[in-house]
Amino acid sequence: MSGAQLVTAVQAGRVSFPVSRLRRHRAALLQAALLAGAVVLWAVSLHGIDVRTVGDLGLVSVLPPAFYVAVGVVAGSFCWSMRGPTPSTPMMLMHVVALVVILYGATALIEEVPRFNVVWRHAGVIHHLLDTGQIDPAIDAYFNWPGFFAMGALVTEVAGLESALTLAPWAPVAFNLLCLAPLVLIARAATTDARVSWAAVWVFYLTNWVGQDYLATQAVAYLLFLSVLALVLVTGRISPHAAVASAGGLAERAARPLRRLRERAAADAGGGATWTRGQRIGLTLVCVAAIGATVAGHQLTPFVLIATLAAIGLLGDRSARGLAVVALAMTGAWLAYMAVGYLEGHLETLLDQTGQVNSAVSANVEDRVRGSTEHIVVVRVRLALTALLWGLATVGALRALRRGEPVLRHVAVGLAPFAFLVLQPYGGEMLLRVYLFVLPIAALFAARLVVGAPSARWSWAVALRVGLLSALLLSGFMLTRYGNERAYLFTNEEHQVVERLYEVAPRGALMVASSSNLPWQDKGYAQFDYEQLGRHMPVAKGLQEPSRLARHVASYMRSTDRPAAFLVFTRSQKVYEKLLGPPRWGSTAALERGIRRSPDFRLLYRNRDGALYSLVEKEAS
Amino acid sequence: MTTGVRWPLTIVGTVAALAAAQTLSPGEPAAITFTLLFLLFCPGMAFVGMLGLRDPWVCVTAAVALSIALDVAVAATLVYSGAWSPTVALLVLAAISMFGAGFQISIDPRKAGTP
Repeated sequence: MSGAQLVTAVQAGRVSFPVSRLRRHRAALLQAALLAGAVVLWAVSLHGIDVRTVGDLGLVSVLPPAFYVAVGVVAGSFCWSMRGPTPSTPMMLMHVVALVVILYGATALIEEVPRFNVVWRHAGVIHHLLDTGQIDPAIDAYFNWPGFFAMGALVTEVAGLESALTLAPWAPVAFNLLCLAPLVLIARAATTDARVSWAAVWVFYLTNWVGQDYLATQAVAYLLFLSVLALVLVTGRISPHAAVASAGGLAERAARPLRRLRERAAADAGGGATWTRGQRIGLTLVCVAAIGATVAGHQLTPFVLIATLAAIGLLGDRSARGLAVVALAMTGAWLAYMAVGYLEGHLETLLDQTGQVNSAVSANVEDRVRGSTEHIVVVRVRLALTALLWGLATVGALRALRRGEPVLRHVAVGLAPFAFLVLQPYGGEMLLRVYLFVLPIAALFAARLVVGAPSARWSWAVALRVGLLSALLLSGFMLTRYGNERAYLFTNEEHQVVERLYEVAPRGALMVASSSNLPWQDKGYAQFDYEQLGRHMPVAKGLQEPSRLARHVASYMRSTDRPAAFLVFTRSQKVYEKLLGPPRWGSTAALERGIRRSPDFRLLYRNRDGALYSLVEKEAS
Repeated sequence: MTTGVRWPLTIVGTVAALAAAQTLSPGEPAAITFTLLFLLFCPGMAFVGMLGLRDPWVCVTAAVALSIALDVAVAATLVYSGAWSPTVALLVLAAISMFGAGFQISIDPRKAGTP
């Protein structure tokens, strides 16, 4: 080795002397201590925050400066590590874990009871399974795809928990950490540059604001989606000649671009890795099992998985093509046999919505840009950061493709979910879900653009660019992810109102709330009739008189054949309306004023965050 | 500790720790931690360990995915068949894990080259 080669090798970290090794260990220890200190500072900074003081901008309105110092220390330390060509894996791992804990565990230290109403509903499904041990597909869609709820029931019982809600506060941290290994593999299948891989993982966690990582079936399905994708991408074997050749004539000419893509993809796949036949078969079987669990547990994810596997398969990956066929067969079988009851009642609606681009755009974008001024700011920041990430990713992908990097399959995976935007509005959430499924790929290409082409040189410029992007994304993250927290965080007093309801309500009782935004449905999921007023109230023309609203509600509650009827008001229902705009039938505050004066209702319980009323007529019966 | 027995011993140790935590402190953080560690890792690792994979990221990804798939399969089968019993589900998954761990100890780990 010549002198110049030795200097290059030392600079690249391939050769080290005892002194430089000692220095590196000392630097690593210092960084580890910094990270530990940042996590402690983070925990202390969140102590004593009152959820009632959270404003319309969400958590940002109450976070103290110490919180941002903690985040800044972790991010700064990460960027410092990015200046070297081969950042140490344990060091990168520590940074990413610290970031995930800080960003995704923030509400666990603030909330009085588990946040987000859907968490309570999901816990209710799990509790129903635990109480009855039965699946009744007639109850609702959850019972047609009960796989993950059954697993939730198993975890709850085996851990000896009284409620599945105990798992909720730290679920986002756990799910995000579980996604780490597949994310690393997805990035590594596209690049040999460790800096790009770790920056991709880093950008993923700085932009995963859609909040589908709570105690939810989507969180488990997403983990399995990433796992299948990662295993397919790392073991990929492309045949450039498969199924395109010998078509002849027009078909032959049409197939030429696909063949060229396959030839390119064939050069991409494998990355020099060698796998035995047994390993390939074993990992393919793991993918089949994971697809099976996804099909049994979630409505949307299997279809996205089919689309992404088919996209990789089109490039000539036989394994991906086979898995796409398996996923399609499993999904079809599940719909035909296990979810047939749900489909019979909803197929027409689902088909009517298919291809309705205007209504999909309206439900996914326009309907969301409403509410208080601060909330509109939050929504606009979400749209701006989405545009920024997708823009960076597009440029990064084009650069990688131009340089001949092995990313063609990743491009296919990143584009496939967009088809769903025009296929289904998914209750106005499809854009969010598409963002989620595209995110690992978008983060990868954005990171590729910022880090630059693979290089063995030390570079402060790389650290600086990653630092600037981190600062930009971090400044938006707390706003985009936690912008709805004023409505999503519940108080102990709200929970007490609902607990009082459970105590007094007989089996089969009607329970009514102005919206679904309250901590209920965790008990008696099928035993009580939980209803939202929005489904039963006429659309208001102008301002509604409180007494008129009260009469409408009483009339509706009287019309049911339920043995008792209750009406619940909580702080978070009113906050939800202020934040996202009032419902079409009137407002919760006006309704409560009317109910207070109405002779049809009797107050059963009240505290500072809520009230419980019963319909007098049903009490008498 | 050799690579061949590391995962089997981890599985056996987790099963033992879960049993102890369940007996001594059900519902406490230790019980939750060992439950999640067992259910999210052991059933899958019992089989993934047989593949002779050397890349820890691939091992963890495959083990977690397979574990969740097996958990869902066992739990959903019991619920759909009207025989729901968390104890039975846990015993089945523990048996799967211990069988895989035992099998891994009994065979020579493959020496195939992996990335």
